[in-house]
Amino acid sequence: MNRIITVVRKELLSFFRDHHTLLYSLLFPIILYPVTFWIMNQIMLLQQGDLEKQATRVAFQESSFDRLAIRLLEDSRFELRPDLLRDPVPDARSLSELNLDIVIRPLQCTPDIRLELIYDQAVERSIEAKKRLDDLIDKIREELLLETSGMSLDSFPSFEIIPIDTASVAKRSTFLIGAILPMIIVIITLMGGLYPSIEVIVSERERNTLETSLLAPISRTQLLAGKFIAVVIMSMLSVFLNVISILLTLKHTLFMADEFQDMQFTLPLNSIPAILLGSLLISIIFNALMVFLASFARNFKEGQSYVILVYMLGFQPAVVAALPGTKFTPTTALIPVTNIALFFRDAIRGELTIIPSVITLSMLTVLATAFLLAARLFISRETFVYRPEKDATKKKRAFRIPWRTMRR
Amino acid sequence: MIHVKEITKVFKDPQRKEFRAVDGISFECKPGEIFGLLGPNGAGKTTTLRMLSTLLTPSEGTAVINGFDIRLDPDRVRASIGFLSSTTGLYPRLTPREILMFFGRLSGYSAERARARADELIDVHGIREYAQVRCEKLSSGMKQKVSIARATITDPPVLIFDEPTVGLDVLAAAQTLKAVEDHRCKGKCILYSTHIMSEAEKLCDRIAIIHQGRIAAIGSLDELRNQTGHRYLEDIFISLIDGSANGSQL
Repeated sequence: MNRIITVVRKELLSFFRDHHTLLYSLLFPIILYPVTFWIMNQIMLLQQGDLEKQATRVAFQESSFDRLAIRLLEDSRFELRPDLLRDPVPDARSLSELNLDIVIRPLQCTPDIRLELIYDQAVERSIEAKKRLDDLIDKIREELLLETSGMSLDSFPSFEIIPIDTASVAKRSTFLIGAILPMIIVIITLMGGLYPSIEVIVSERERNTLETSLLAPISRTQLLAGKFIAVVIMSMLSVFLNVISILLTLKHTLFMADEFQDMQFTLPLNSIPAILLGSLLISIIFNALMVFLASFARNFKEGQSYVILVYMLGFQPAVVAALPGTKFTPTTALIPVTNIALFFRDAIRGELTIIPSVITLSMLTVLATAFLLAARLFISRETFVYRPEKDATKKKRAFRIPWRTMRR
Repeated sequence: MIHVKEITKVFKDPQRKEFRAVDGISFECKPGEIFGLLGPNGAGKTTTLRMLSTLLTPSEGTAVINGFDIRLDPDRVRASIGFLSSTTGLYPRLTPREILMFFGRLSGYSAERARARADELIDVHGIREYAQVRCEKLSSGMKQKVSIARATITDPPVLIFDEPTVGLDVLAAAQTLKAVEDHRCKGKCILYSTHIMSEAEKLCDRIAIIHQGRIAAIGSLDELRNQTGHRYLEDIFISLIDGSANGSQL
């Protein structure tokens, strides 16, 4: 046992003296995550607040359920539209054309209560409206229960709420895919370029082939461009294969469940150019940044630790885009990564708006150019070819094991 | 073919402040000649060769190779030289044929011409047997043959070898030296850096002995013998290095 403990102590000592381990295993969890989560949380609260602030636009159809109508008028979260709808059951299109989030259709108001809630499962405001109405109806049901206390259970009116989702199968499918896929595309773009971006320069440096490449009668810009394009191709190939694999997996696993069975799992054709363009831009940005950072590394391990930083920082803004209520506005279009994920989402749902899209694409183009120029600048320096080795004679503050220090 | 003029390289190191790795050296090398750079480790040989191959930029001075200035026309300089050192490795996941084709294409050859040249070099260097095997699976001797073929893919007029026999066994080292001699016979201008006396003695037509970034002596073996009064290169070298260390620059 003592020998095992001796080995454990030696290994821990090595870990604690390795600044990469310290950085990624200890320092990051302490600093990076709380900071980024706090920022993300603020954005989420902001988005959630916006959604909650929005009044739900409700209309009745045919006849009214007085108690509910009164409560809707009293509640500031609802905006009761006075006009009665004449159509038998409005479809999703007429809901949006009439600027309505939900329509209540009382089928029977006395003695039993039967209500139809007509909403659009593929519109966030409509989903929120359904949630709010469900809560309100629950409260009314409790009130009725209190009012009838002491009466026999038979005399208590029955309550039946029938939700009617007006969203088409295609719309529901794209809504769902739009919620899942953007985040996945961003993460896969990051992962797809992770190792190739280290491989193209750091591995060459480690295997003594970088000098061989640099001796070729081509400029360093041409060499970098060639390497970079190869990394982007790998990253894009990874995105392409992953998207196909995810769609097929969803089709054959999750969507075999009854509620998803009628759904279609294909990307809308008109969203593909936008997704390709967006993926290419985000791939250029991530990979330019990763190639640039990895260029500073002396070896693969160091390169890996630099590049994982991009992965860690790129992951969380992508999650924000998947949250309900996050809108693609000129403001969110200024948040890198979140903006492209929202761009993908709205492209898939067929809801792309011009100004946020232009801001996003321009911003990403500027960032991609800046990172590529930085990488170009760095490779023209001598330190790119011959990274200075760490000076072993340089005095360093050695990490001391707490228990040893205490013993002294 | 190679004219080196007062070339200097200063590295800025925070620990050692300014470090003059190469300090104003000049020499010339003609076609059909093997010019040796002989010096102990850290003398400045590799830095000199890296400047000549345009991997490093000189702090002062310059060199002209095949009529092209290393500062002004680095791409053409690289197109004029074949460079081989222990740090010019081969891509492990490519085969010798693929590597030769790759460098042929980078040098501006058409696919057809690059293929023909690769085939020619594969035969000349006897690497046909393993031309389709990934380089990661080759022995160091095999790799060295491929490296020489890679350095000569464009049949450049100038060849620079930086300690090419380091890490090779006796047979592989002998084959490498033979290849260098063959290239001299073809009229190439060859710059050969080594710290192995026997290699310099056997191969080089003229030798520059470098110590602490400066040339301590330059000339043919006979000239160096006359200069120092010693018969063997090792004794010549030690006497020159000692003299240089004591401040008596030759």
